[in-house]
Amino acid sequence: MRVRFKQADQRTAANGITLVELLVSLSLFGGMVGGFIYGYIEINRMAEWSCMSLAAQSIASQGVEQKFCAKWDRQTDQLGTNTEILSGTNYTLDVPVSGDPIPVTNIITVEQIQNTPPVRQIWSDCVWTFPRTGQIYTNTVISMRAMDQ
Amino acid sequence: MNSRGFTLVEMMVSTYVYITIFLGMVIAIQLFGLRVYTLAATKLSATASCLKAMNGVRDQIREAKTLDIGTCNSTPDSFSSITTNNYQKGNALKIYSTTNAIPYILFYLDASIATNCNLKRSTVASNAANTILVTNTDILASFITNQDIFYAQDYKGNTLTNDQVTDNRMVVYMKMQFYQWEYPIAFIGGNALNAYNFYQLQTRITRRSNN
Repeated sequence: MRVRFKQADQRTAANGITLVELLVSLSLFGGMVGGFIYGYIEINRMAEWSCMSLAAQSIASQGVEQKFCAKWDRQTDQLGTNTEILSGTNYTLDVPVSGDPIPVTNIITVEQIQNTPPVRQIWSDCVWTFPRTGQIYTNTVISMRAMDQ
Repeated sequence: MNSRGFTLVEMMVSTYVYITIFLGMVIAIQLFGLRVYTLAATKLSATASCLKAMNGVRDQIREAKTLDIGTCNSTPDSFSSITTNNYQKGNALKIYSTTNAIPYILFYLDASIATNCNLKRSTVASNAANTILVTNTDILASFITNQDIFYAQDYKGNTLTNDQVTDNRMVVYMKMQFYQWEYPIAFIGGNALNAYNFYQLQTRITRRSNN
């Protein structure tokens, strides 16, 4: 027995690929290639952001360490309960960059959160801007400190 | 003529052009991806090794009883403390874990090889005959370019000139600057020149057992 399949469209079979079909397939292919390239660029951007965020976290941690160095006893209270804003040429992200370094601002806030026994909270914010998007991010490190340490 | 579509020759030519463009783009994407990967891998490996070194120093400083910043040549026994009224900064840091003079741990910059200065850690102890021994020395970081690595600072970030008045209360500011190949797998430029990238890592550490 011989089975004949009916052609769905005689015109298509006879005429081959039309220009419109070719253009559509090329645009799909272009979209796929564009997706690959975008994926690579996005991976690189995320790695760059991760690197900067790690550096910002380090700056915030340094602010806490610096306040840990202050003397806090009954005679001398260098630690204090205040807010200090550190910025300038010394405060840049430790990341490899092309061009200007990325400045950051370190805001350290000391607050007494308990009186008996006395405990103070050291709150360090590192504010930085991601150069590619201009978006502002803040990395925070919080620690507690007791007297006579 | 318009109803015949493309001929076989037309399709073969267009397919040839299509495949050429396709292969060109695939190869270009692969090379681009390889370049991005290499760049990121180099940065991450350099960052990881430097962070490992800093973590080692941090743990020792936090446990320390007394800290002493000085200068050192290529051997641990050449350590010399920074004298009073001079900025407490140098290429070596001596860490005493007790009130005794021995044992101690010394972090120092070995600049005996000018093109590759290494940050080293030496553990110094004494035996039963009170002979001072360097029991262990290992390399923490390589290709460092700056000479002053350790700074003694106060809680305001000022470099100290006399740590005795602060009862040895200090935050150790540690800074390492070094260079690395930007593209280690490929030479850039003529005469086998290559591109180097400047790099820096810094941290601050305070010992926890203050007097």
